[in-house]
Amino acid sequence: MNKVLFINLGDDIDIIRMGKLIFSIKTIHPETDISILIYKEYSSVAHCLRNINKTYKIDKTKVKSLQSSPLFCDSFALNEFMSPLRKIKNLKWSYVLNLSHCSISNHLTSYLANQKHIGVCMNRDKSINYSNGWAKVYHEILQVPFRTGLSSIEILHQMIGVDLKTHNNHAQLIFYDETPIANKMLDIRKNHQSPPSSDFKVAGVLIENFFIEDKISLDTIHDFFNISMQRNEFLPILLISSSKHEKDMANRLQNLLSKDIYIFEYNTKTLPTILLHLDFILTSNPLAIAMGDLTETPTIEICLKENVLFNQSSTLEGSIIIEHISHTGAPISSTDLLKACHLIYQKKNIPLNFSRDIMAYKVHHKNNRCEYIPISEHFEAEKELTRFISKDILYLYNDSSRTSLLFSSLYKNLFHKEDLKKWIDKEKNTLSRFLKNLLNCLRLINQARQREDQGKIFVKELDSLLNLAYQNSIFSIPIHIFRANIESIHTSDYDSNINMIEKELFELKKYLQETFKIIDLLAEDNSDLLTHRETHPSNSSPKPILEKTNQNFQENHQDEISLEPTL
Amino acid sequence: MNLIKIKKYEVKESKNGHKIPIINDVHIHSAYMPEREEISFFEKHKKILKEKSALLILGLGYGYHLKKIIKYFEHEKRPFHIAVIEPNNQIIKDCFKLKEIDLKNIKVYCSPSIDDLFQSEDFIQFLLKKPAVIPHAPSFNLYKRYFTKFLTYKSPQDLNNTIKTLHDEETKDYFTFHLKNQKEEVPFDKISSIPFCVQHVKKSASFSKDFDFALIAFWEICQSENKSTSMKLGF
Repeated sequence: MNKVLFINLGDDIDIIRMGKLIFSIKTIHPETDISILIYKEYSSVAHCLRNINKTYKIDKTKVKSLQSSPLFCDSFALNEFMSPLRKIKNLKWSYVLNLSHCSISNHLTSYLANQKHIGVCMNRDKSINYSNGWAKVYHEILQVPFRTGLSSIEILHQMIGVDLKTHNNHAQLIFYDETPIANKMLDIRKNHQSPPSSDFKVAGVLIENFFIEDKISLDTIHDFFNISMQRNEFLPILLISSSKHEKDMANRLQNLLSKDIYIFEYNTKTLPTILLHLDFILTSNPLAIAMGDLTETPTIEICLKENVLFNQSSTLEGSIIIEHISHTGAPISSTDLLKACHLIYQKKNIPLNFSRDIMAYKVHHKNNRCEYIPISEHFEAEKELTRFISKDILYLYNDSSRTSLLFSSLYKNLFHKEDLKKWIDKEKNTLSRFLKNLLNCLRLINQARQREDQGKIFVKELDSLLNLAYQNSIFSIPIHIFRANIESIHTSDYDSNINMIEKELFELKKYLQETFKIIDLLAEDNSDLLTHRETHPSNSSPKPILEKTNQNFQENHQDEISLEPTL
Repeated sequence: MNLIKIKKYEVKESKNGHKIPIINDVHIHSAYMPEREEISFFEKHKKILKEKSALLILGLGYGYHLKKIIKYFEHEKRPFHIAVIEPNNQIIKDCFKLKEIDLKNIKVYCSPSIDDLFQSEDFIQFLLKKPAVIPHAPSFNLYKRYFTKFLTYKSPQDLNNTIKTLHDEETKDYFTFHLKNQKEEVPFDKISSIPFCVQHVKKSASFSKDFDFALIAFWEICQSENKSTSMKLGF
């Protein structure tokens, strides 16, 4: 039997996300004995998860209090810190998995793993040890604001080498308190469902953060409740935390409405139970999104930040993500929210015309991957193309097979031929700039090898090369990987450093060439792509062709995706 | 240095018949009505009691001053933790015999050495509850030097002291090794301590021992920012 230790020194959201990974491992290897090491302050959340054999806790607050007070000798803090580790250290783990992104967990993994680790740990020479390419993606690329459309759950599954499993039995994933909230939820359904019908839906509206910076106004939520209650297609219930602000907002909302609404106060313990009794939920809360994933409650994620990165998004097939893409444009409207609700529970005649500043995505599973498909009328082709192809590139880097290139075979039809051509041209230009910089670095590193005083000039050039990682281009990915590789170099002498960096520069060149092959491939394929319109510049066209492309896409892949033809 | 000098210890009866200790001719409780102290002491610190449920009382005497406080918490049905530091062992013995207060609800610490007090795991666990410190004035004045040293205490952080209080052998051996091998490297103005060892490990080209990894992780936890996502999310 495999004994596996998960080190997760993240917060409650990270702990809940781990639930899906644990479930996938237990489904494939039921005999695996899984223990976790977490911070004590999040242990109540960890109790929600099933399939965990033992939970070890570091009392971070206590360790810090003991160390920071002049009253106590530091040994007390060290004793407290070592107390769970002493038990773990003596157990023979088949693997130690580092699921956190911090230096603390990297060092602890090295201390506890005895060479058998997955994720990141520190080598004795102080260099960073990634167990595989996905570990590098998880620990480096996921940490930068770069859109790859990869969720952390998907990367963790790839890093460990298990399939993303779905399930029908929630009890296998999460503990939940069935009474009295469950009874209350069942009563609501009974009272509003006469005659009983499977079409009747109950939707949770978790308003936390909604009113920050007026991204959603109270009037919008009022209209949303009003219209949905009048139409009687689904019953919205309001979910609030114990904060005074949310209670005030709930009271104000109730005063504005003519009918009484259901208001539920939730916390981390009761949220799973509430979610299990909902048909879907509207929220911007990452913990609720993660719990929605575990309880298989379809989620409408309201992304209040610009430029959704998807790393914390739902991975549940059918969930919707709504992003407000403009600072100045109109905020999210009740109509947008209602449309998203229809998309979640209706299967036919779905209108896709969200407000102009709203970008919407639907979660779709394909080839053990979780994809976020644009479903709104307007979207920035360049931005989405970079996202789709970036993800393909990361898959290609890590399994080097053409089967990982889903874009060409599946999603290319979502885009205009001209947009794709424009994007390819832009990327080619970017590559030539990147290559120029890279070649300069290679030239200067040679000079720096011969004369140490040339080192500064080389470092300056290297710096500008590393800065290219923050451009919105698929070629930023190899630069991010290069940066991670450079940062993990730990040599004490000048010559070894130069040699290692030079090796990495050649490796970067190889990655850039591989990436370029994909561009080339797309350029070749693009000549065969059907043109849906002769002219269309995506930014100026008032009504681009998404409906058609979607329709076309549907015709080709009807069995693969649940998107419906539009209007 | 002897912080407690007891030349004379007597037990007398107050005007209304309650026992009171007199040390070095100082009355620890009122010579007339010591039971009144319970009300005056309670009234004086009432505000603190509403905010805190952990109290550290400096001076036990015969406990008259604690009676009302215990009753208050019991009446409020609030969980409470009361610890008392009493440097005079004889007073503690007599207080137990007298049974004026129910000592099962309070912890009494008696140690002539402040260092020993701060090396007691149990006492440290209590201090982590961040108690309100309330002096019993007659006891405090009698043992002023003792209590002043207690209130201004700073724990020695040198490795010799650290090693003494470490629990497991791996850690003890690790720091003993450090102590032996780095004695000469420690600058005059520094002491060989855990932070000093951390700096040493950080400066080294490589990790030479397994415990180096644990030590760095420990130190980074100590230096990390506190953030609670639950709070951030409004729970």
